[in-house]
Amino acid sequence: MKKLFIAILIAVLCLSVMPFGFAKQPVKIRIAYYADEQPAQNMASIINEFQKANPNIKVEINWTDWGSHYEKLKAELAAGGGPTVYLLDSVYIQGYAARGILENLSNRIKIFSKDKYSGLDAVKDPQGRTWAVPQGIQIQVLYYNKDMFDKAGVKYPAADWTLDDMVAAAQKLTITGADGKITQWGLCFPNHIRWGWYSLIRMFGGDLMDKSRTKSTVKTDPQVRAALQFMHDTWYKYKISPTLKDAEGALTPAYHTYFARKYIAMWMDNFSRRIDSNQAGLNYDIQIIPKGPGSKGTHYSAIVANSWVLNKAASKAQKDAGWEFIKFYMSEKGQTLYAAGGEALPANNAVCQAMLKKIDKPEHSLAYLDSMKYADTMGENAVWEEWYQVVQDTLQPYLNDKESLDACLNKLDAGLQKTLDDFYKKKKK
Amino acid sequence: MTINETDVKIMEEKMMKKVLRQKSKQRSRISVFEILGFLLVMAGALVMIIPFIWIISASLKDSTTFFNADWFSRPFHWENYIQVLTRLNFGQYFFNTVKITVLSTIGALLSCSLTAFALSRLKFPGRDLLFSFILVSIFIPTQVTLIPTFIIFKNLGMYNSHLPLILPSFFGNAFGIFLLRQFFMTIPEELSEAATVDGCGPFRLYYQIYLPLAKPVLITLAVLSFQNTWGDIMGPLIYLSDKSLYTIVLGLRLIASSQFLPQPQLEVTGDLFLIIPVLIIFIVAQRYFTQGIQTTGLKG
Repeated sequence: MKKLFIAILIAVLCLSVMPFGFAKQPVKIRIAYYADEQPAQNMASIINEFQKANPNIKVEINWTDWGSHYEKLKAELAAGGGPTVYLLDSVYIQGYAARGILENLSNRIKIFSKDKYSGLDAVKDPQGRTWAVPQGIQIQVLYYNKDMFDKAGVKYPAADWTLDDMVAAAQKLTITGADGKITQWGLCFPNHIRWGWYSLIRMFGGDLMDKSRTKSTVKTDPQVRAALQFMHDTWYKYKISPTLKDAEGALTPAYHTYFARKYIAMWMDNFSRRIDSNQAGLNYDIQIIPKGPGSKGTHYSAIVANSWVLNKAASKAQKDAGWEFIKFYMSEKGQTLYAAGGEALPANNAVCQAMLKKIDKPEHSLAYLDSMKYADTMGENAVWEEWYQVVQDTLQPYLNDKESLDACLNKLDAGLQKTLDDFYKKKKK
Repeated sequence: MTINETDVKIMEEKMMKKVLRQKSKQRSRISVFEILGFLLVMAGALVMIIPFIWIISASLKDSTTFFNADWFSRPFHWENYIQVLTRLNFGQYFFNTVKITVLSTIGALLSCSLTAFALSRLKFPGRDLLFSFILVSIFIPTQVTLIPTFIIFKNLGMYNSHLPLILPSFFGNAFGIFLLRQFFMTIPEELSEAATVDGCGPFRLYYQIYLPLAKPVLITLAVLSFQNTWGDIMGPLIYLSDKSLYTIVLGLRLIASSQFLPQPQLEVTGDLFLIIPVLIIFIVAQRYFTQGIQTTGLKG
């Protein structure tokens, strides 16, 4: 009896100790993100909820503004450290991945399906590998000022609009003052990748690079020429879009402010543009992007997915804990909390739809979601930051009407290919 | 022939008139020159003051009208000032900024003056070579040393503290050393020789003879050091993580910089608060500042 009692006692003791023995060791992770003040508070409440659900994971928060986030990140990563989980815009992901600092998430991401989430294709590289999980989406739509349309007696843009319809409307919406100076432009295609040339090239059905994103197609793709000629025409032939010279004056080169400042009637931009349009008290609405001309024309809608990535240098336990956080964040609960920030569209389609239905302005806010089917990236690769700058600079003389299109295309092709080769050929060696 | 008193008086009057005329001519010549000089100075002052007026004008706009070319456009957004003071943890950030700036300035003054004294008055082998090395470091951009310095402080466990922002100033900086060395070289060596004969050691010589004489240059260095640290963004951005450790500049960036809707009007409003201490210090130390620049032969 005594032996049995001792055996039971030992068994009870062992059982009582077991949960501690098998309990997961506490893991400390660092999460770095950028956000404005209000969305940052929402982000903090998501992390709080996550910590409540995962008491073994201790989270250190690094919240900064967008610009500081990247400066800080680059310094920390270069020093061999960096946060465990951090936000990256989709345009930068491949650059970071190619430099070996991101964890490959191709296997882990399989739990998220395309039916439920947007932006999953936007974070893949040309080899089909996934390095990030999109959490907030920015999708390009057409904004238009309803008051300006009403005043000019022009019908509002429709879903089946083409670029020709847009130009025809813009001509009626452009107003010239008594002194011959334009006071209101119909639209604006500036020397900018998303608001101008790259979007137009894709709407025309062309592209600057092949699918591998390592070879320039500037001279082999006729749609590139056609799109750039079209852009030039809107500046000089139709005079419906401000030129670089116009931007030197009262307009200033702050293109993103033109619509809210009531200088232009139509503007292609992402979800976040509604914030200052609402603040400025504009009477506006949105529509999906007009289709480009001809049989190759598309409704191309540039997508930028604000995404979570895992630091490759983190320990396995930290990566697992970081992944737990990402899963929590992508859950309906996490995404609903995120949606309250109102800066971007939640990647979870159901939450996104519920959020858009609650929005008063713009009236046809579901057009953001409708645009997802035309969404595509902005030619992301490992040298995205470098090549888009090269293109932008090379286009300047042509867009200033100081160079022929042929000369510009030659320079563009050479400059772009050199930028691509400088990275990819060296990497092969 | 005698000259009567009336003639003398007439002559005196004529002479006086002539002298007065000449003086008046001289005066008018100087006056024109003075007026031109005054106008030139006024024009210069106007050019200098326009950015300040623009900042005030811009601080009263909102994020949309900020980019419009008009000045002092209505309505005035006074709430920008309230936002900067209330949305920022202003008191805490101000304290942090003052702490870092004051300690860094003290560090710079101590280390630079000691090093400069040694390089100018103590004779030891390789002194000039050492000074050349220090001088060369002026030309190394901060960006080059940023990552190595970051790694050092991180390994020392000083990340996310004010120490990496304060400690380096206690190890001297090339410009400060150069500035003070140039000044110390102008002090006659006989002075230090006499003091040495009277039994003065090198440290006492530095503390009691050289430092008091270098007051204008030290104030100049203090002003420049204060100005550099007060508005520094890169250092605090890299090393600080906790919001409670932030400086005003970082705090301002947090509320003004945005990916989707930048608030430049809040940034300039904050800048107005930021330049007030620098202005006060410059005005107070202006006399010494000018002296310091003159005595070291440096120009801005």
